[in-house]
Amino acid sequence: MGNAELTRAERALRVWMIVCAMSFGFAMPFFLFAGVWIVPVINAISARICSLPLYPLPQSGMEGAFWRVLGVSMMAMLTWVCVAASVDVRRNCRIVPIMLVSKLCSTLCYLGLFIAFHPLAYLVGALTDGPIFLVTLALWYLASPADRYIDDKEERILTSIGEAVLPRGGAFKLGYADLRERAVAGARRMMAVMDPVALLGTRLLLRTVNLSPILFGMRGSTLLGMLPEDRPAWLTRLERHRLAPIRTMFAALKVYVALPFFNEPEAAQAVGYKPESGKTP
Amino acid sequence: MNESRYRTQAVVVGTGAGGAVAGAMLAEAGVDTILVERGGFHTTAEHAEAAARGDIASGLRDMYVNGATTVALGRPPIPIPIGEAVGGTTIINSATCFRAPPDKVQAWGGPSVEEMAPYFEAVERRIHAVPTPVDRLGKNWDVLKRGCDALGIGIKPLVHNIKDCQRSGRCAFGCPTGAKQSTDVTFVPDAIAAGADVLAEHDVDEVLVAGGKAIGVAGTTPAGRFRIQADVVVLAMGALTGPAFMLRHRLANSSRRVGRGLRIHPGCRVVAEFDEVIDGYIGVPQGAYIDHWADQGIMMEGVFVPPGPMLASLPGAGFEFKALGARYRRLSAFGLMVADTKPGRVTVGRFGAPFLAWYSLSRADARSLHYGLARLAEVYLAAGAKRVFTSFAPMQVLKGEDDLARFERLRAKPPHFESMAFHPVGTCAMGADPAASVVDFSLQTHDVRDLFVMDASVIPNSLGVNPQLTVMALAMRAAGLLASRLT
Repeated sequence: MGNAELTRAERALRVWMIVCAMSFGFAMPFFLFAGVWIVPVINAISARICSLPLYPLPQSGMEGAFWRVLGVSMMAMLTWVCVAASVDVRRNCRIVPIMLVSKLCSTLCYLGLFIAFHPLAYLVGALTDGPIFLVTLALWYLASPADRYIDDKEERILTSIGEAVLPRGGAFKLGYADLRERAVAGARRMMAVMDPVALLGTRLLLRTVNLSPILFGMRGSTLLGMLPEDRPAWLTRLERHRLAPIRTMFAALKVYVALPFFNEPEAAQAVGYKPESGKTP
Repeated sequence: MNESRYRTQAVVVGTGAGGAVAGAMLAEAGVDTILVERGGFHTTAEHAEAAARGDIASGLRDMYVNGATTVALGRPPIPIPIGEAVGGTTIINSATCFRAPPDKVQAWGGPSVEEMAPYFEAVERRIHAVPTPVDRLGKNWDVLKRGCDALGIGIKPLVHNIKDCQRSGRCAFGCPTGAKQSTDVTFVPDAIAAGADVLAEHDVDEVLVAGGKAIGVAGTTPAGRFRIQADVVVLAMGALTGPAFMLRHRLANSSRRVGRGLRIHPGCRVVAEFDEVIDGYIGVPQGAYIDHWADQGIMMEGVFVPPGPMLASLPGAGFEFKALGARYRRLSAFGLMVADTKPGRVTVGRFGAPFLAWYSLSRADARSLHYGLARLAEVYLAAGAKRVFTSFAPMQVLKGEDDLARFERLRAKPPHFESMAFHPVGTCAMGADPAASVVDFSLQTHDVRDLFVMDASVIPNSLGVNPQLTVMALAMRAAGLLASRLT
């Protein structure tokens, strides 16, 4: 796939994957052949600049080699993930979570071990893998929906809001479900011209509204998990919430539902809007 | 990569109220001029096609910055929609024309009211700014007039730059009949007729400066890079995008005033439901105004939009919301805005955003909005409204005088309002003192020779009225001065 076809977020992820692939690729032989010196160097720095306990060196060279082999094999796998993702970032975006799981796991373990035992080596590990995890997570989240702008789950959330705000029947028959595909496509077209920050904000709003029954209502299920007939009452509650950010959250998303819906001729006509009726002959 | 190169006397960046006027004035004076516009060129035929489909989403997408999702961050967050097309914001504004109030002009300390008057007259003539005939205002006007008459309050048709209005009700989404005299159908064609070139979809990302003098601009197009060498550079990118651009490129900011002093008109919309059919979308959407409380900084102006944006702003969900939607033809709407008392700020946009605007509504302005909402609700109730929707969170719906009395007793705080704002100004303020302003009264920057700013950002104070005429008049004056220097 040519770069010209990639979204801006995909291009950013691709560049990051290339950087990571080169870093892991370089680190592999380094760890294998010179890894034995890493911990002693960190210990030496620790002894000079702080009074943290030193990381215990392996009893024998064989023991250290065993763990280095495991570390190198992990790096080989991560290198492959990064290379594959950078070669075809849109198709292989889905394998990036392998790297995310790895880096989250190592970050949490290093942090836990540092809190428990305090050697500087664990803190260095957490401060190395933590930022890699966070940057990868942010870029992957931004790039994962590609030119669909919102991912499948966010689309389901948007649709559930649409069907709650504009159910079938009532004062006019037409509901969001009747025009769902066109209304969602309309919302996507609105998102297509947003800057990345606004788009990220919209996606986070969708996710937050989905979690809102748990976060703000002490309920046991998300919006998607609620019965469809309970959703309008919940959204009305959000709209009347005493905290302005919560009200604003729903008000913003209502625009992505109501505007594309009523932009469709059938929906506009259902409320009596006839665009040509103002024209004078 | 391809790079197109041009050489000209004057390059004007932006084709809105400031840029188009400046470009036309320079070209008509015989100055070799190029106008550069980031947005695209949209024809009346395109607008007509969209109107026939009842489509407003394409207008929002193609002619607004960020699809009309630009927001000033603060308490509360306030959307500030601005245009991005050949014609700038004039292509999507409500075509309302006011001269700057004399006391506001005097406060500038620069060109006097008498000096500005011929420029206002010239602009009004060229864009056909005349009071709109009452028969073009639609029933929204009738309803408001009825309420105002009952209370003894004056309501008047607004002056618009519209010629032969066909009552399409789509001023904010591109006029489908070419009646609105936005700059894309007035000053831009005039500039072209006088020999100027217009480069649409050209995104300027650099002002070329050498030896403390602006010598051109460079940027990108879908086809590659471009570079324009020029004797003078006029920036007319608007009061939000412009200062962010200047801050990003560290231009003319020795005063540290670039981006500071942002003034806007925070506003709210009041929607009222009647038994009678009003069809508020037929007619000039911003047809009339009430200036009864102008001495308190409150101006009320009409506003009505198609079902999508109108109903999205009304409360409710589910069958209750649909019942309200089904009453769309029986809704009337009017807006109010306040001349703000506390400035905000514009900073450099990050991660692809064209700018970041920071603005918090002051308590005094919140009280003015609350008072204005009450007065407008009173007018609607006097006109016979069944329900009034207030945009005020603690009490979103009023059903009668008792509700209105309760509404007035509530204490208003800034986060209570579902507000929008318009008319950003003040972020590259003009003034005589280089330490306290960005441009002088000829609109040349104090720091960089031959770099001019001719847009709303030079207006240093909140006008309390729609600023397009003032921006045009200031640009006309400054471009005239510049042209006399260049020819």
